[in-house]
Amino acid sequence: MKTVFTTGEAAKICKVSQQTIIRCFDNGQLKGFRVPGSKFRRIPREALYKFMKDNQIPTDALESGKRKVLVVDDEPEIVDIITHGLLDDGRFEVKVAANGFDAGMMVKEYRPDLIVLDVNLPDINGKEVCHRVRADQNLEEVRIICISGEVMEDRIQELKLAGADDFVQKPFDIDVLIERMCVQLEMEAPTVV
Amino acid sequence: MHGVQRQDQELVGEAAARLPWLCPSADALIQLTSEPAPLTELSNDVGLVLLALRYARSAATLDGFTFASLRESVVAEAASKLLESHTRHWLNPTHPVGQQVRSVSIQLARVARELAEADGTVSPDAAAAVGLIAPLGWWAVATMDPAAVEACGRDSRFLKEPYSVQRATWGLSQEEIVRRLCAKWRLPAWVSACITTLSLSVADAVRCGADPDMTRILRAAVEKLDSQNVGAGWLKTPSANQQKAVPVVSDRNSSASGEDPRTIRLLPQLLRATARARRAGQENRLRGAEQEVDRLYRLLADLRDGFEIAVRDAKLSGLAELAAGAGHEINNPLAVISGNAQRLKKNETDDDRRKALDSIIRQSTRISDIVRELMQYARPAAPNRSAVDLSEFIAITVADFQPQASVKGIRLTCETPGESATCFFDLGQVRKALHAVLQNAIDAVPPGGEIGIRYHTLAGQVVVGIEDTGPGPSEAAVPHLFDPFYSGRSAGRGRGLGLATAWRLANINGGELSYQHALEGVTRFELTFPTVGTSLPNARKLA
Repeated sequence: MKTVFTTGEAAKICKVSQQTIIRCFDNGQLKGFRVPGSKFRRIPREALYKFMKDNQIPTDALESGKRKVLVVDDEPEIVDIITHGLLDDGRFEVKVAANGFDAGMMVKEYRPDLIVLDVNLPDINGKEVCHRVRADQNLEEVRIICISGEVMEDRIQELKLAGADDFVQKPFDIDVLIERMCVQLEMEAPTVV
Repeated sequence: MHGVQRQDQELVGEAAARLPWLCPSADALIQLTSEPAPLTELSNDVGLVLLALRYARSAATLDGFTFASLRESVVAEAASKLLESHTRHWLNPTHPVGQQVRSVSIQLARVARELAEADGTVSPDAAAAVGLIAPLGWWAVATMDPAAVEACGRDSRFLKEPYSVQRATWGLSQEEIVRRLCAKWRLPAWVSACITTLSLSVADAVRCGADPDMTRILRAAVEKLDSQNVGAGWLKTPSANQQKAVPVVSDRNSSASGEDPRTIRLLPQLLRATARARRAGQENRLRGAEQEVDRLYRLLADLRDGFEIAVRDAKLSGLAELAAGAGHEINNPLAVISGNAQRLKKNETDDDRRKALDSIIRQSTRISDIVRELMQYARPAAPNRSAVDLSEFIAITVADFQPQASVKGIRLTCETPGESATCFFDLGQVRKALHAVLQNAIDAVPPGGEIGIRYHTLAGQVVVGIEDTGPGPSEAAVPHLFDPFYSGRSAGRGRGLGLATAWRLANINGGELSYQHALEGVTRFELTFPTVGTSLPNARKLA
């Protein structure tokens, strides 16, 4: 488990800007230390936890220390494959929605860092889900990776225009999908077994 | 009383539509017997022009018709038979209604002729004939009952809704009467298609078989006269402005005697004699027939061409629809198959099992690639064109294949002319097309063989020849070389969708891919593209 965080990581966990974390660090609200020989700020886990409690910020993100992923697909077997892949990696926490409506609700409740979104959902299509997430200012940090069996180039372009950050073609290599997620979340790529 | 009268008038239209024929005027019939028959005068006589259209052989086609058709022996013969029959009907040209109807016809003929002369697309004689008989329904009604013509003009709604007033007073509209008469009298299609479709849009009239140029000219003539209040509302076109005053027409330049041709003695015999004399000189008939056969062949060829393109487009769009749908339906299960194989492989230590799982994963991807390629063939993305330096393009593409060729022991050479040509196409798509043709060659050529690629410019086209020493396609396979999944190809050549996609990509970029019969032992494909001049300074650099 991670014991020390940078201001950028703390900002992501608290879902506030990095500036806010730096301000709170500098005025003493958020305790921490500077890396010896440099000006870089570091925040120990307990200090961050206390800060979040004091300011009524939900602490679940810190508790697991894992990145939150919402997988949206109506095909349970594909959901299974992605969920297994992400849990095997060990750095992700996963929730699942089987349609666009549930996805819309869960994005607001669960506040994922990233959505893996199947484009062809039984109700609202993926493009519309992208639009709705992008229209909500509170969700601007959320990354979206669309997955689809779509073969038409122009439809893939449309998705990117609708606000998807990346597109992965089905069938996919699960390691490639995780790699692309890591790029979006600025994480280290997994080491392939 | 009123009800009875109405019923009588309703019958006028029906009776007019059953009119056996319209007798030419006495003047015209007499003039027909003079040698040579004076065409200018005769061409103003509706009855005579109708006879020519019906019976003259040269009148069968729009291209063949001139007023000289009036001089054919069959016309005089038909006129003589008409005079002797019991079913002759005649419109007295000195009656005010007769005068009015005749005047509209003659002016319409004159304007149509002038427009055709200025336009140059159809023969002025043909245009004049069509103009002359366009108001045929009015002629028929006037012949049956002149008062019915006047009754129409008196109706205040006439200019606004001429056809519904005609239907209310006659039972049929002018156009409906014309349609019946054209069928009954067997007038040639080039005439009837124009004058029975005036109320339709030009496009619809053409769909019904009307000649587009003739249709345009006739309508322009109708609208021009309409704007001059000549026969306003008589002929309804969709664009005609029908807000004009009541028609008062009188053409002073055209006069006609009121003599009833049926009462002139010896006229039938005279006409028969004329017919006999004319039959002797049936010049040019055979040539006309031959030209007609030629024309029909040309028409058929055009039709075939259009049909083949339409069938091909329909096939492609069906395929695209299938591929787009199949994309979703096939790729989802493939994702499950491949994903589960990947999961199992992660924890698998047995080498054999790992190999098998790898194979499952690889083949799933291959199926998915085929679906994607199929889509690319059926509905490629719109080309994003730029100017491309052809010599450089070819050199780079050939270099891509050098390693593959040398591994297989094939000599791959490339020759480009001193001065490079510039083409305008989607670089990625055409590169893909050339790749497919080269891959096809590499697959077919046995070790020790050769592949050569060179190009030349010819009449604004660059022709890129790709030759190899591999076995060529069989005669039976040649027509199907660019069909997707054609199974009769010789070993190694044209697997999958490569050549089909190459053909399609060349096509949408304004070029062509073809197979050429070359020397024995040489297989040659040609990619052609239009050039945009030699070496543009801003040609895209590929390196």
